[in-house]
Amino acid sequence: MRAHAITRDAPRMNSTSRAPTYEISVRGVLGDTLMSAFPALSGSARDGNTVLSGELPDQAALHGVLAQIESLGLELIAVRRTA
Amino acid sequence: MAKRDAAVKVATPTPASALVWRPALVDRLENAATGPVTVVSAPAGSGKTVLVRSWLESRGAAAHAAWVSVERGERDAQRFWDQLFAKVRAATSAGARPEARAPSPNFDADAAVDSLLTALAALEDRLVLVIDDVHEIADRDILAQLTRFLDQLPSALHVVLISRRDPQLGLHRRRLQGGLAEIRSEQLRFTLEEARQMLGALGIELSDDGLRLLHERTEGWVAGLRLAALSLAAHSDPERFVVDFSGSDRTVAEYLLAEVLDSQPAEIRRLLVRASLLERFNGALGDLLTGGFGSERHLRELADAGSFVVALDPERTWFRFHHLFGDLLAVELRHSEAQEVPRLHRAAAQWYADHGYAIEAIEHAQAAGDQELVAELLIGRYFSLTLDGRQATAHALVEAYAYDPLVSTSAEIATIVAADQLYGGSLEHAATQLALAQQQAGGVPEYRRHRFEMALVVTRLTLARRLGDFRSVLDEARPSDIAVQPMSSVDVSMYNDVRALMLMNLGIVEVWSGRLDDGSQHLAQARQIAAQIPRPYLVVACDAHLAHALSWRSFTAAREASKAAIALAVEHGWGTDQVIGPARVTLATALVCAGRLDEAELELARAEATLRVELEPAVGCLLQLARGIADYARGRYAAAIDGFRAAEQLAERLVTGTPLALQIRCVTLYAMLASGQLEAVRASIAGLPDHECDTAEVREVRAALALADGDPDAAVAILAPVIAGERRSDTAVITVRAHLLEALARDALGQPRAAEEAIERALGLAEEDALILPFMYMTSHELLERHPRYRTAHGAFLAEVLDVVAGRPRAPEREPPVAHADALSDAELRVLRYLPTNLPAAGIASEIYVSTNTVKTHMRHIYGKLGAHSRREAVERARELGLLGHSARHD
Repeated sequence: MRAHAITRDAPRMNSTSRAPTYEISVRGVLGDTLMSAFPALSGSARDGNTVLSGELPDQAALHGVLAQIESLGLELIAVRRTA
Repeated sequence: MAKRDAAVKVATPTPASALVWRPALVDRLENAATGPVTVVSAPAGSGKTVLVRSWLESRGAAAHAAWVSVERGERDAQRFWDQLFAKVRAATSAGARPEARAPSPNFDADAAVDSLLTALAALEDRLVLVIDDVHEIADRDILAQLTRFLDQLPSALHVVLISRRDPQLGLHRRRLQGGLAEIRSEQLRFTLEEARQMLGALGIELSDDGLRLLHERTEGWVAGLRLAALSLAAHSDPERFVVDFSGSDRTVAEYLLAEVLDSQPAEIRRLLVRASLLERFNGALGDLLTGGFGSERHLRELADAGSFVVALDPERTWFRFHHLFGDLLAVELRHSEAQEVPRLHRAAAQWYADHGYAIEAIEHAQAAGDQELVAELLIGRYFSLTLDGRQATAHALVEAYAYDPLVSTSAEIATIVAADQLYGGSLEHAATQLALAQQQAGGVPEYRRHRFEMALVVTRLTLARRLGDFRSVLDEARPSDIAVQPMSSVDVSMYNDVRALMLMNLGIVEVWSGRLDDGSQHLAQARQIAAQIPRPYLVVACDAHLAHALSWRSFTAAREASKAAIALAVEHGWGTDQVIGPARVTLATALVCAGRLDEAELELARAEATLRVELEPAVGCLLQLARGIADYARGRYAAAIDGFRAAEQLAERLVTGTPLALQIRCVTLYAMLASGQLEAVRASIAGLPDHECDTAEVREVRAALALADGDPDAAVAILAPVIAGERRSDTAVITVRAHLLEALARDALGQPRAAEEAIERALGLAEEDALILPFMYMTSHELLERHPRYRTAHGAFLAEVLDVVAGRPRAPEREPPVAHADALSDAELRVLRYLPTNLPAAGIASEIYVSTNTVKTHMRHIYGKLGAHSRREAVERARELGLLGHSARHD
């Protein structure tokens, strides 16, 4: 049986540096409805595609966004860490 | 009867037969089916499920197939494998059908995989196993188990994995080995011709240009074409629709979803959007969420239209969305009605709770952020969920809630966290949380008090059992104090489950602390409740521990009881479950005591495989003790001492001493004596506290040491209080041994008559429970060989003892043949018992005070009934039938 995590602490963030920011490009232009599926990110249309950008606290959050993109049937074009 | 936890039926999805027949892909699947694994890996909406289903349909009903749909975000290994078991069982015939297995709170996935593989190795006809939505497996352990399963696939089994992304199942390795066929997104895209066929099948007419435009815009994405078709069917000017769609730069899914929703009446639109809150839904839930009527009719119509609502049962009462569509609708709901979402979750939670769907109720209460409702539901359902074998799911629910830093701690949450930690977590953390729960108990609202108290008591007892902290809880846990009147149906079922658990744990704790009467009584009460609920798992658990309790009185009875418990466990597929461990150990111990070492060692190996010592340290201790004794009886003293040391270490982990501890210490000393470590034994005895030196157990060691020192007078003096019955032991093994030591001492003192009497007492006591073990311990063979056969009242038993001690083979144990035992009269049985001795008929006659002729008549009848031609044959036959030896009683 797997051992349970028993911590009640929030994921620890590095206090000296800010959370990393990412640019995630998906195919097509996202309207208000689909944008609302990514509340932590802001979107901008670029060459008929959409760039979702913003801070994501950690890798788990990044994978959460990628999973959301997958589940909505969107096509992922690029993921880039910008800061 | 209490209402049991309902489970939403999971049926194989039955999409309307494919609109487009795709012969190239179907051939590809068919050709791949001779190999081990096919993976269909492509994004949502690529038409994966429909393709595989249409392939299976084309093979006809005669082809065997099992279809498993992985639950969303699956982290419950038992649910996953149980579903797979059930589907495979339904698709296989008798020879290769896996054993049925009922859910267990102690699920062992590896054992389940092994038994599945073993059964399927006998497959003759080819079987296709489809696992759909593999990407939903969210637990690494399940992926590892599934990888092992795929690595060892029987040759007649073909597995098709359907996934949105390449699953972590060693695909690359399989690819290199040539054991993998693949269908990927490029192949799944509809060609222009296929798009035309699909629209045609739906009665939609479009110009060639329009069709080409639509195909280009959707890039052959099947879900896009389906959504477009739905809009087109309702659109007055299809060509115009396609041009508009094509001119938009919005994503295909979003554009078409908006179109589809716009084309629906407001009522249905609301139903679709709000139902996206639920994984599965029915008409009642639809009405509840929309505040309208007629949801059931709408859902059936939507399912008939066959596009994005799927009926889950043949009666078409439960539905779900196609996953992609459901996810898109959920985004729409949060976008357009965000403020309504918590209220809708709460309403759904209440509906699920009222209808006995515990897991869904808790999930929606969590989503609603209603902490009070979550706490109430969790504490009410946690124990029943674990008994249902849904421990992993229950743990996920607790984890999502109680470990959330935003949730304030309360007595109820602390209790549930403690209970959760008892399964695979930290005992220390469980104890801390329990202490916290007791401190804050005052804050629990009155109407939730009895649930809380029951949960608290059962968790305390379980912790005590795990720690071996027996006595501290016994005075506090009074199940009779908690005879609260249950109020709702949920209360009734929780009340029964928790009451049975509570009494069982109390009984176990009592038995381990030597309170056999109370313990057995509570276990019997728990068993009765468990049988009524019914909770077969608890029935088996109680039986296993009752068998152990019985072993303190009679090994013969304990042997029968543990066999019955094991048979019941096997019936439910729990033959290797932790729950049956105590019965296996008890059976092994009883077999050791009966001198049946081969069978005992076999059973010990089974017990070892079954038992999880960290969950049940006391049973582990008993196991090591039995193993050590078996080694001792075989003369492997060093191995025996190792076994006893291991037992001692486990006994030390128990907070409260067990009556076993003293026995372990003494058998260790015995084994040391046997291997000639006289001085070490003397030093150990000198270090014992006075009250222990005075016990029957230690007195025996001291007497044996005195004998080894050549001081039989001292031995007799040390044994005197034991022989006189002033010092008693919990077990007859000790008493029998005391008489044997007495015999050895008297013999050494040149008092043959007294020695003979002591042997006779030892044989009499031992025969009552068929205890051969004490005679194997002792250096008493010679004395036993000399024991006058014609004067003993225990001739048959003595003969058996001598056979075992001399290492002569015995017939394997069989079930007592009741018909034969009945067929022999009491008088014949009495004569039979003398047949293994050398006593002639006349001698037997004088022993049992009848004439020689009578004895001869009985012997003739015995031979006849047993089909024997000689005395020797009769004895052999009687042994085989169990008429002599352990089951022969002299009453």
